[in-house]
Amino acid sequence: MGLNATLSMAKQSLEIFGTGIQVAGQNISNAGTPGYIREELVLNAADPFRQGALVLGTGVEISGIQQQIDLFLETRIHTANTDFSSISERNSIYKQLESELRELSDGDLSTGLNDFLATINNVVNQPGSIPDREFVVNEAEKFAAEILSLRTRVDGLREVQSINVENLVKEANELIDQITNLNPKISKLEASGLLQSDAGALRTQRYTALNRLSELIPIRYRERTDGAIDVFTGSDYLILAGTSQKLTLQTDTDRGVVVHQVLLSQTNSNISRTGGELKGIIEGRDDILGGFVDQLDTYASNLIFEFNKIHASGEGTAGFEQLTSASRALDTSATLNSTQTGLPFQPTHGSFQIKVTNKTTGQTNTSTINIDLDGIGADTTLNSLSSAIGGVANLSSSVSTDGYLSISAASDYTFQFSNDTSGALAAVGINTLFTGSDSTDIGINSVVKQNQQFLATGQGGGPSDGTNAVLLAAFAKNPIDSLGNISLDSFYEKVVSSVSQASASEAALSEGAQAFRDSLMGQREQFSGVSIDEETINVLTFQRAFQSAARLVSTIDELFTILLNI
Amino acid sequence: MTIGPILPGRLPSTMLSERLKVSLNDNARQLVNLQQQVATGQKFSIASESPGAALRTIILQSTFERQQQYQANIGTNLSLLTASESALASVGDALNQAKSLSLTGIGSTVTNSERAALADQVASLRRQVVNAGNTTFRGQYLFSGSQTNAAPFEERANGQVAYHGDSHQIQSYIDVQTLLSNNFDGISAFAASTPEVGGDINPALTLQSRISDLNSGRGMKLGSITVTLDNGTPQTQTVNLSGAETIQDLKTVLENAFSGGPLTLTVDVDPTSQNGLRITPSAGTIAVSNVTGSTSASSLGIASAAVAEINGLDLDPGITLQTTLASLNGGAGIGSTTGTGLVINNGGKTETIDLSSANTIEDVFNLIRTYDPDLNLGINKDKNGLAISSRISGADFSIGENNGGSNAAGLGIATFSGSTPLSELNYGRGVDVDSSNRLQVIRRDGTTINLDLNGSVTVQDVIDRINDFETFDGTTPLADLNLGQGVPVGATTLDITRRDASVVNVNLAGDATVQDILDSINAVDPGNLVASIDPSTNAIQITDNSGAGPLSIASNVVSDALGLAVTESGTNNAVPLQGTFIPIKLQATLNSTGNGLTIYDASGTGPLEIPAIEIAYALGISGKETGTDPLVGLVGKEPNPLESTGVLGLLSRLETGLRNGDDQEIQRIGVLLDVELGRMNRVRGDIGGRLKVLEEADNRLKDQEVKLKEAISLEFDTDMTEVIVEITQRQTAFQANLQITSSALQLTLLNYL
Repeated sequence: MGLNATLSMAKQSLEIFGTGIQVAGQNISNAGTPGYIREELVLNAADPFRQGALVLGTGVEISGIQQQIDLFLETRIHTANTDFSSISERNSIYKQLESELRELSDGDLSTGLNDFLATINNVVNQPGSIPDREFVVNEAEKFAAEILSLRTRVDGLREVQSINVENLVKEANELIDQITNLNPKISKLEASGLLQSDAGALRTQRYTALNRLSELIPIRYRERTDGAIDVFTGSDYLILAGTSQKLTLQTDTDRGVVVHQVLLSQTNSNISRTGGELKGIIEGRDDILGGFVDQLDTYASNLIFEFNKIHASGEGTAGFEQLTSASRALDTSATLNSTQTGLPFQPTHGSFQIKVTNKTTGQTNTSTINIDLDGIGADTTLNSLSSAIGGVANLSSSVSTDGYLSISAASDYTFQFSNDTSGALAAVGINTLFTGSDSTDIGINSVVKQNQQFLATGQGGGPSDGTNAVLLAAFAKNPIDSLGNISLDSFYEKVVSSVSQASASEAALSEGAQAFRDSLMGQREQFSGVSIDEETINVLTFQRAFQSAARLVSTIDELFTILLNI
Repeated sequence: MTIGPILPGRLPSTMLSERLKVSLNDNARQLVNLQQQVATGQKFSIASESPGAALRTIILQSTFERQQQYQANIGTNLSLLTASESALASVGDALNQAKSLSLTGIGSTVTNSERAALADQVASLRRQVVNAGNTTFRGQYLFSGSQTNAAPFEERANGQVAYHGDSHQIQSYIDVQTLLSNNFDGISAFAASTPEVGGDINPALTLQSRISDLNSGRGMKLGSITVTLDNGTPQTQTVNLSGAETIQDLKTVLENAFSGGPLTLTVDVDPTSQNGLRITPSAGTIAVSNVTGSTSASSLGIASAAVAEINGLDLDPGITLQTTLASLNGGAGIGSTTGTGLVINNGGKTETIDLSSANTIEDVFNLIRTYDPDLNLGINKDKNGLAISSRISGADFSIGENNGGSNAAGLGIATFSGSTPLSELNYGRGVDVDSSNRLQVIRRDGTTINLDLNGSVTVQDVIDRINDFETFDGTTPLADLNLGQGVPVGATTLDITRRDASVVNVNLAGDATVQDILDSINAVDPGNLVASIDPSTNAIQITDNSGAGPLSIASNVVSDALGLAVTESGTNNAVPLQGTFIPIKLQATLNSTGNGLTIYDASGTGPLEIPAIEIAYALGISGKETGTDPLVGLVGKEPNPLESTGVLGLLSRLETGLRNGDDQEIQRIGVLLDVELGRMNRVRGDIGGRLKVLEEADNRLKDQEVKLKEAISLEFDTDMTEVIVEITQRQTAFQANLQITSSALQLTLLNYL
């Protein structure tokens, strides 16, 4: 060997130091690339050989270009991503719900209720004042519209979440495709030459894709010896040895809104609520917003029924000549308190009174109509109720084919109602102010809307009899059995407070999860990020080494010249 | 992104710049947050930013909104009551003037023309009061109860004033659950109605009676009871009665609980008492007890140890509009309504009201209202009777019977009856029976008698004194009895059904005196069937110890004439068969309308006269019956009309009194004017009291408003000083951060190459 060997060693050194500068250059040029994992040239002293008694080195050789990544940390980041994304979505849905509630401002439901009660109070002060009576009807309409609008807004939020789910699924599927495509490329590249750092860039792309995927759904991955990875979610595979399965949507309807469940295309597992943004959005849509919708329905239906029960026992300043119920029954021969009737509310055993007044003489005859719902013998149905009312002198009553009860008085007679202990009038929608059954259809009875005289403020006195209005004004403070003996007011406070408490705790959780994820990301950055100074030093080192190696060549060249000049 | 800890090892520049970005972002966000607080004036904009404070704020805001409404209510109430007060002030003035006019108008020194001028002044005062009563404010009549869109007071002929309103109190919320009336109706402000009539008429329990009307309308809350039937094998059921609304429901539920047998039970209204429940098992005994923690069985009066039949206690159902007439007076009803009815004298008109088509109280009211719309018709506070009063001021009001019926008494609304206290008569001036004054009667035989009514308390006492004037003893000739109509002893026999059920027909033919009658009866079964004279009144008593059955005498001309057509249904011989009163030649009765007394005399054929001295005048029976028929009596006038003693009634009466020169009336009204002035001052005091309550409530609400605002501000409003100080601090920190990090970032190796 001798000079030739040294020359060859120098040549190899030159190549390697050039590669070193290339690797540092790659790092420097990617210093601003998000998610970029820095690479390092791994060098080894080349195998020595024996020459006589001497063992001589053969210079340097490249083991490879290595990405500086902590794989264990990467797994932890994936889990943290999944947790954080799910909580963060829930948190943001809570915040959206809160801003829709508009509590703390003047556009909220409690202000709406207070405004409505305020107009009733004005009627209590001066029951005979027609403008004040009109205001009650208008304000009731406005309040009903506020409830409807809140429901529509929350439904709208839920629909947006459904669209979000669609988008997430699309994105997740694209990510799965991307990883599936990257896998063979990485295998192919890593199977050949040493100096290629293309595989590192592809791997970076794959890590980025995995990272994003882990935000959407919970994932685990495992790297194969050929550099390809398998990806799992829960116990199901997403990518396994070149095959993959996609996320698919299953459409359904829930509380009046189109909703999606997310299934896997091959194994058909439901992964809607396993974790990640997907879980956060679906829980937000169904549990947080859906739960609120349920409570809003409870609020609205109790408002309608409780208010109407009081209203139905009162009298307006005029009697009815003809009246059709606001609610309809699906089965007019079913017992009134059974669900088959299809009425929005169920009455109880009791009775109410009908007063029939002769307009000319002013004579009034009161009849008691019993609502028999004791479960013994024949119980009252809409048909039997109609015939009982029809049995009252000077009244006739019928049930239409589509289930509406219609009462009319003989000419020159009017009728009014009082003392309803059964809730039957409110259930059927006779002499009521509100119509509908919950927050989707709450409205105002057109009878009262067209004529404020039918606003039942009195109990049998003159136009300024406000006895019933006094009760109506206090209705929101009455304890209600079906709400667990709390008043409508307290119920609403409870709903609002539970939303804001849950929202606040979700925000705290979200902050915690974020801090944890961020600290992991910080660690990743600390380990895998590019340091310009470090790379500069690397470049300087390799530059000097290159200079030395080049010097070595010129030295050997000089030596060869000496030899050739002999 | 939050800034995590820096672990040992390398510090890549990408990480440094990342951390810089995060910390700048944080700083900026905090600044924006503070800026938003300044801009909105709120510490938070959604509740979850500070749930506790936010919830307190929400509740405080809601309370605040309600309080504002209470303040608005108080404002309305204050204005209404102030207007009422100023209207009533003019009424007080009118009363004072009327008082001085009454003093001027009394006595013999005033000429008739002067009196007429005074009367005109009184009439104009009355008009002034009517105008005050018809004051409108905020688009409504102030003094008409709930009838606020019609003028409440209407002047009619003869100075009468009719009130068209009702006694409704318009209540308004002045605080949570606190109601205050904002009106005075014509009845409470002007006393524009007569006192109410209506006594206890004790309705019987029926299957239609509502649980909520029991206990005089107080109702009861029912839970479960335990019922045990036992005919060898006890059968026990706990029955939940909470859903029951009527007695019929109780019956249905209780009977249904045992409908599976073997023993069943029957529930009905106890026919004996007519006011409680009766529960009868199909066989054996029945026991009813309370479930622990409930008093339902006791409330229903049916808690009992094992007995063959439970007879429940009095449930005292209250009166409602639906109460049937037949169930009144413990199921006895109000007597026949055919050909009878009510006679109502109101506002100078007399109306006869036929009740034959009425079944319920409501029907009665409808019928009365048809004939006379100027009456308040209702149910009294105790829910055990009616409450009827007249809304006409300046006229008399009375309710009596028609054609000798008993409907008014049956409905408890007769204004004059035997039990009316003498002290109430003549507008409450009473009858001076306890002085040395005597009731002088010039009889048909020309003799004059002086009846001592000393010690009489009620009208019946007076009737009894007159009826007992003549001595009823053995020597009284039969021919004198029954206003000289005698007893037709020869016509038929006295048919006595004895206690052993045997019938004796006692022949009284030929008997001439009362003692003869007694002797004839005592001769049937001496010592066992004993007839005697009732020592306390003009009547015959009979005892019989032949057995343990009832003792009765069939009705015929003889027994009727002797007042003996009576049944003693008891079984105790110590209790005699009590004959009814037998008039002799002088008799006093309630007259056929029930509104006054009638005096009969059979002593001769001359005129019957009662001179108009004080007692006779006070009893309304002064006058002269010039006919000769002893069966035609001297019919007295109504001595107990009811009147409204309100300002309008008094002014109307005063005007009439002045025009008629009736000193007695003017004097009476003069006294009442003082009373009314006192009452009016109390009403105005009451208004003043309410205004004070309102003002206090208003002040309290204003204080609370300030406190609420303060509390809301504390929870919710931005503390500007604090925020601005904080912004300054943050700005400094932000600047420092920027400077230090930028110079740190500039430190790179490249600068030194």
